[in-house]
Amino acid sequence: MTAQGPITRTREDAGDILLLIGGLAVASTLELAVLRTFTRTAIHIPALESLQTPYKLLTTGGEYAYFVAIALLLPAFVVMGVQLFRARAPFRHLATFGVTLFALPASLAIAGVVNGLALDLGTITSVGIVSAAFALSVPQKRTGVPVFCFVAAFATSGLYGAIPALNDAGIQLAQPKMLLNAAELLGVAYALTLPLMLHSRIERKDWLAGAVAGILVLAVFLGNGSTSRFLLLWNIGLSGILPSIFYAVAAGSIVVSGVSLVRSGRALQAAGLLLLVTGGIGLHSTYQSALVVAGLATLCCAATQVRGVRSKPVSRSLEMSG
Amino acid sequence: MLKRSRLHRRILVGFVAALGVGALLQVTNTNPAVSQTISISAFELRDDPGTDPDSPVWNGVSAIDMPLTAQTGTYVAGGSVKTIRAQVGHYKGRLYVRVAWPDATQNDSTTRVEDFADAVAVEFPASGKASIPALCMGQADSAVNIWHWRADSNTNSHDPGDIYVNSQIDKSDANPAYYTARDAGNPFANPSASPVQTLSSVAFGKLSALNTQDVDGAGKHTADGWTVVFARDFGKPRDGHSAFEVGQKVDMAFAVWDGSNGERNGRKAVSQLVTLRVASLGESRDHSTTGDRMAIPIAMLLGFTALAVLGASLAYHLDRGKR
Repeated sequence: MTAQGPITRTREDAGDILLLIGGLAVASTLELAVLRTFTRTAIHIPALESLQTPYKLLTTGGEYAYFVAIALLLPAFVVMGVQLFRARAPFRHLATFGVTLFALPASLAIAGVVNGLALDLGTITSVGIVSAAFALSVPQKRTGVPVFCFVAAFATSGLYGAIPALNDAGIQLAQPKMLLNAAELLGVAYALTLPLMLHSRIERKDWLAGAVAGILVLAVFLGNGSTSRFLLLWNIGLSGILPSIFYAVAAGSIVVSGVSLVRSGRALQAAGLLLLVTGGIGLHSTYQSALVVAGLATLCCAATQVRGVRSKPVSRSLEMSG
Repeated sequence: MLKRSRLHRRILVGFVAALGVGALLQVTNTNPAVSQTISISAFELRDDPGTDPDSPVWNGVSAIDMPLTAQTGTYVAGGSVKTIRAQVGHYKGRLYVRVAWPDATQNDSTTRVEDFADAVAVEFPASGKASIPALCMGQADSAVNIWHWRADSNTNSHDPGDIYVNSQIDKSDANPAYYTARDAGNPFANPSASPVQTLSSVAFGKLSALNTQDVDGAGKHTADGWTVVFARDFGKPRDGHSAFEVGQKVDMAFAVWDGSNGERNGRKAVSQLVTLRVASLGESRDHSTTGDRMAIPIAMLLGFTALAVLGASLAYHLDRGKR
């Protein structure tokens, strides 16, 4: 009887987090698809004038998804912060510290108290710390490889973006273009190494979903490679220096991993990885950076839950009670 | 069952609240997000640089390098220029933008139908604000203001006789009827007009010249490529025109056309939007704001704390592993 209370609470917490983060992932994906992709592409349709009404309706819908995602971000940070703090994982304080390191300067920047440089450096440091907490939390180190690739891509691209602000502050640094190229390669490596996070066998359905996504992306890139790369730069932060096939395989790998994770009951991890994709690489806005930090914190939460299930005998009754 | 229904109720209330807050933010147009794109500060310049690309005033002004990516519109290929370097400043209520990019060929004549001019454009939202997510070429309800410089307008029109040397052309400088395009009001055929056109766009194919042409500019080609200066008074908000003021933050993007590669219209290289900050009077890079001065020690403190925490965690992890 005494064990039932905490188990139920943990179960409710897990359910809350999954639905909260799932909702955030869905809202940010809709925003990415409609606002950052559709409206930026549809504006190039010559017949747009005759399609004004549906275009405006979709744009308004995309903007709504954007504002709902923003509304979900604040409770997501609070709930995950509490969950990480309460979890019996060894690096929970590190993860909570990392999330705070972003949330604090971002809140101060919205209030106009701190400037862009402090925010930029705080964001990059926060992303590094939360991902370090994740890498240290997972028992299988190969799981940390894609996250390491993502964080390295984010940091190199973010540093390139922060250099003008450093110059303004009196620290004269060159802007080496190789930082962007490195970010590009690491960003694609993130997608390609995502299957390392899978613990179960990839089934035929997963491969099929990945193949469809890959072929679709390849067709879009071959159809109008320049516009695709243009959207890649504006939406995700990659300038598209690699041949189209790399982006097609990367998209396929993301879909294979996501579908496989959801199918094997690890929907929270899938949502975390999706948030990293919608947040993108490098510094764009506090909204996109918040998605990235939330994605990494979600992976930490998922890792602590997995660790809890493996190490605590009490979690067995949790499994059975479902 | 009871617990499950309680969980469902909590979730339902949470989602309804999120949808409601989202709607409230949209209706009140309250966007709490802050831009983190590359920022470029327009400090007050020590002297008037004019439109001379070689003005020594630019020597002390820091530059940013913007990566470009190709856009083709309905054409194939384009976007051969990979990077553009930008500097900005203001002097006595006038905004100056200086851009430079590598281009080995000087394409400043469009007399023949197969010739295309080198060109560069700077884009601002007509609202004069930074938007998240950023606009590209405008939206149905949000126009962008584009300053478009062309090398052929910069050089003024070439005499067709210089290109078609064996041709015989009836012409008279005194009689405008001999210059049909100029007589019809085509700005590209008018040698006295500015080489910079100010345009407004709300969509593809919706690019139009604004009635008031108020942007000055000049370009110069060297072995390193083109350097172009744009200059315009801060101005007041008008239909289609961006307005600027001290302390303002506004989105800014660049596009470059390489005439030797046949680039024109949508066939060009474009940048991401950067945030242009018009710095206060008297503020300069050497006399940075309190926020700037505080940012470095704060960032260093954060960095060291992060490293210390990370190191301690790693040491704990390794120690636990040994045991």
